[in-house]
Parts: sequence; C-alpha cells; structure tokens
Amino acid sequence: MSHQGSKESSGSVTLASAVSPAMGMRGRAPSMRQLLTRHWSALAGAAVVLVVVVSAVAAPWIAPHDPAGQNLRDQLAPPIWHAEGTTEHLLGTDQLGRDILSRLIYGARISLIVGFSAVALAGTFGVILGLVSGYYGGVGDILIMRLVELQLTFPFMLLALLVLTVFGAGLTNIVIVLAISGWAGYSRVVRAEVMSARERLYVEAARSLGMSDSRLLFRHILPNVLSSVIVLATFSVAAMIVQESALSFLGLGIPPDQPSWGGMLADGRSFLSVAWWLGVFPGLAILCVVLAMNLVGDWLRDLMDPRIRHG
Amino acid sequence: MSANYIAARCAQAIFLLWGISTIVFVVLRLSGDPVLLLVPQDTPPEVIDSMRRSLGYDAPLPEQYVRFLGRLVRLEFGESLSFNQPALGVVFDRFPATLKLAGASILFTLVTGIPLGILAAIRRNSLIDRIGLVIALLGTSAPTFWVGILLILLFSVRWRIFPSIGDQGLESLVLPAVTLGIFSTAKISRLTRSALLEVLGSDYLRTARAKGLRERAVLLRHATPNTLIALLTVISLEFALLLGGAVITETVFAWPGMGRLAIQAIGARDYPLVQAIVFVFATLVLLVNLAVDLLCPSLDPRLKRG
Repeated sequence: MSHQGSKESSGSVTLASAVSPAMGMRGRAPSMRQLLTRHWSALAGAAVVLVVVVSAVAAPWIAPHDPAGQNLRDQLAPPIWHAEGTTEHLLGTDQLGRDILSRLIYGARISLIVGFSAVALAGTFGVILGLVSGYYGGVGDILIMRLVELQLTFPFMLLALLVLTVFGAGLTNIVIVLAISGWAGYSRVVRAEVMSARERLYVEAARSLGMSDSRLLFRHILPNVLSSVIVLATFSVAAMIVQESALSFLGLGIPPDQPSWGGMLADGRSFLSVAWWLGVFPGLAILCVVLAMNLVGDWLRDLMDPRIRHG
Repeated sequence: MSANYIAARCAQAIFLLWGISTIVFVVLRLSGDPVLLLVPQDTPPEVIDSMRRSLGYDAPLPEQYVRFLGRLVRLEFGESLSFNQPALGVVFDRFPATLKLAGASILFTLVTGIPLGILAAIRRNSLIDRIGLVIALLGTSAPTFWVGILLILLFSVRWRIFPSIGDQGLESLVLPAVTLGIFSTAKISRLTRSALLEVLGSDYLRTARAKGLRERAVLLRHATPNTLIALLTVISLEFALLLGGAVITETVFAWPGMGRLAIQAIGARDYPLVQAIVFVFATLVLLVNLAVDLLCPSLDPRLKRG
C-alpha cells in the first residue's frame, strides 16, 4: 500500500521528530499561551488523568465518607443540586446509603491499577514477541503470527468470561485476562516496524561491525519502534479501563465488596427509575478518564507522525 | 486471485478454529470435575460415577480430547446440560436475534460513520470536522453498557419512546442497535477521515488535480476507492469486537441472543453449550475476515498475486 511505502522511507526521521518536539520546547520555548492554544486538548486530558491519579492515591484523605459505610436512613439520597439533596452527600447515595462520591474516588484506584498493570504486562510480552518475530523470521515468526491471529479472532469477551468463571474473579485474574487479550496488537505493530528497520542501513552497518543480535535489537531497533508502542499503550490503558468496568458490570470482575465503577453501574441498574444518579455518575467517571487517555494518545500519535504534524 | 491463495486462507481459517476450540477445551477442563457442579451436594458417589461415565467424563483427558475433536469435525457438541437439547441447536435458536442486532448496528454504523468521516476530511478543521471529532471521541470513550443505560434512562424511563428490554419487534431493536453500533460509528468515522486525508495528500492525487480534474471527481473517483481497503479491513476486525459487545448489549437489554446465552451458559458451567457458542462466534468472525481478505484484491489490483 502506498502509505506503507512512505512510512518506511520516513521511518528513521520519525524517531528524530518524535523526540525533538518534546525536547524542542526547551529550545524554542513557546509561550504559555501558544502551549495552551495548540495543545489544549492534550493538556486537558493530561490534567484529568493527573486529577484522577492524585485522588486515587489520596483516596483515604479526600473521600468524605467510608466507601463501604452503609446508612439505611440515607438510602438513595439525590445529589446536592436536587431539591432533596444535602451537602452531606454531594453526589447522592446508593440503595444502601453509601456515599457515591467516596465510592467513585475509591473506584478510581481499581480502574487505574487494572488499566496500567494490564498494559504493562501485555506491552512487555507483546513487544518481546514482536521483536523476535520480526527480526528472526522463520518458524518462530510463523508460530507467533498464528498465535496473534488466534488472539484477534477469539472474541475477547468470551475468553474473559470463560477464564474468570473458571479461575475466579479478582484483581490479579482480571489483569492477567486483559493482558492475554491485549498483547497481540503490540506484536503486530512491533513486528512490522522491525521488519522494515531490519533492512535499513544503520542496522546493516551495526551488524557488519559485529554487533550481537540482542544488543542490536534492544539498543538500536527497539528505540526506533518505541514511539508506536507508546501511542498504542496510551490508547490501550483507556481500552483496558473500559473492559475492566464491563467485566465488573457483568459481575465477573472486581468482587462487589470493593467499589469499582463497573460494579457501581451494575448495582444501580435496578434503581434507574427512581435514582438516575446511580446510572450516570460512575459511567461519567469512566468516560472522563478514558476520554482523557484517548486525548493524550491522539496528541502523542500526531506528535510522532511527522506527516500529520506538518500536514 | 490464485486458487492456492484461497486454499491457504481456508486452511488458515480451519487451523484457527481448531486452535480456538482447543483453548476452550483446555480452559474448561482446568476448572475441575463438571459432574460435581451438576449434581446436588449430597448425591451418592455411585450416582456421580455413573453420570460421569454416561457423559464420558471418566476417560483420560487425551482420550476425551480426541473424542472431542472427532465430534467437532461432525459439528456435534453434545447435549446442553441446562437445556437438555443438542447444544448447537440451542445456539442456532438464538442466532437470528444476534444476527438481527449485529446487522442493525452495522447498518447504523455505516450510514452515520462513513458520511461523517468524508465530510470531516474534505472540510478539515471546519466546524463539522470539530463536531465529528467530539462525537468520535465521546463514542470511542463511553463504555457500551453505560451508553445502553443512558439510552434506557432517557428513552425508556423518562420519555417512554422505546421499550428497554426484550425483542418486541422493530422498535425494541433501536436502542440495542445504537448502543452496540456507537463505538464502531465513532471509529469508522475517524478512520474514513484519516484514510481519506492520507490519500488526499498523495502524489497521484496531486497529478489528478494538476491535469485539471474537478475536486469532486478527485475525491469520489480517485481518493475514496483507495480508502475502501483500510475501511473494509477494520470493519472485519471490528466484527469480533462487535460480537463481544453483543454479549454486554444483550445483557443490558435482556436481548434473547447468543451473547446473553453465553453468559447463562458460562454461569451454569454448561460445557457443551459454551463450546458450541464459542465455535459459532469464532466461525462467524473467521468467515467475515475471510470474505474481506478475498474481496480486497478485487478492490486493489496491487494485492493480486502472480
């Protein structure tokens, strides 16, 4: 395809330009206003992610109530701007009188831990397989690519349900399931990039100087494919957070005694006709975090693809 | 297209089906003795033994596996443990409902996503491009089940326009189809936009413009056809996600399809049924992928081999 051709020819430029804008800011020193207007969406995304990370870490200090604390007198209290709302519960309470805001703050912990650890696991595994597959080729490449196809054909939801039913729900198992579902994308991307990098002059030069395969792979080729991996990983964190919440929503993710955004939505489903806030706020929280990660991902992708940046 | 290529692709599809079935077999057997899950706790051991024998779970695992493969070739998955009917039959009973849902949501995706993407690309950085971007961002970021809950809150609870559960005719299809399709719509619109932008800047389009073609001809005759392959490939990959999304959407809307059946079957540890469902899901995905692969060379002559 035509775009592949142009990608290959501009590949080595990609890294240089991928690194330079971030570093170039020091050189050009754009004003605050320039920064805000040109990258406002990425900045907004990064700000949201930062706020969520900070609240997740500081949950015990900033949450107004115990997230598990039931209070049957305060059942289904509406949010503060509602006529019957109170300052006691800013976003209202659920069917057991638990404070929604506090549960959202604690729920952020689950989402972030699952999102980032699943991506780290899937990314490491996928990148290594992709490097091996693209660099060495041969039988290993064929086997790995068949595995990738298998992974991409298997409907993730079914695999996840299957594994979680068999091995039990819980944080660790969710991270593993999500990692199993997510590695294939990295392998494919890395393999393609390695295959084009392998034919480049700098690789040939390094090889003719007698450099070992592993050094060549990790010191020279890996940094060149890393920009694509970082972009993929950013989007992937967002996707993992959504998938975790979906599994918790189906009752197969985080056990109900721990507040998770998906679990909160599942709990609230039966009360939608009397308490809309149970069905709105946890979803809004997921939307905000995922949107923020996607905005940062979009920005990174544009930054690392010089054709889009200058286009 | 050479016959060899078609044969190779078909062989690959069969290999993948085998792989997926094997994974399901292994994962299910790792979960322990299926018979113990089927009987009440105080069942006498003799009864359990005879049940194990009659269901074939007493044989060594390799033997069970070989028997499983033999039946797989004949498309026999055994009786569903919870329905007491042939498992494949139970799946096919629910098949039309899922197909209807998937079809409606793909239709929704195509008629909204592609025009939105084309408009956004040709009016780059205009208001419509920005609106498209916001829609796409929200669509890809909002979890499917939450979109479903919001739609129920608005259209069923508040305005009472559409029913919120079950399959009660065409109007009950609207909310589930939109819920299931909204993610793909967002993705397809962005993809159409970026694929189009990619070719809009290419040399052959510059040539087309340079020889005096009108912009409309450049866009429709030269640019759009070249985005079709990328689009088709993504739609085919999206299909696996769509079926996965069907599991959630069908649960939210109590839609009587294969997705909800999957949840029930897994919850009940109905092994034959789970195997049949996964097999049907995977076959569907493979058939769609295969069809797109075989179609692509006719869209792009460069892909034709030999």
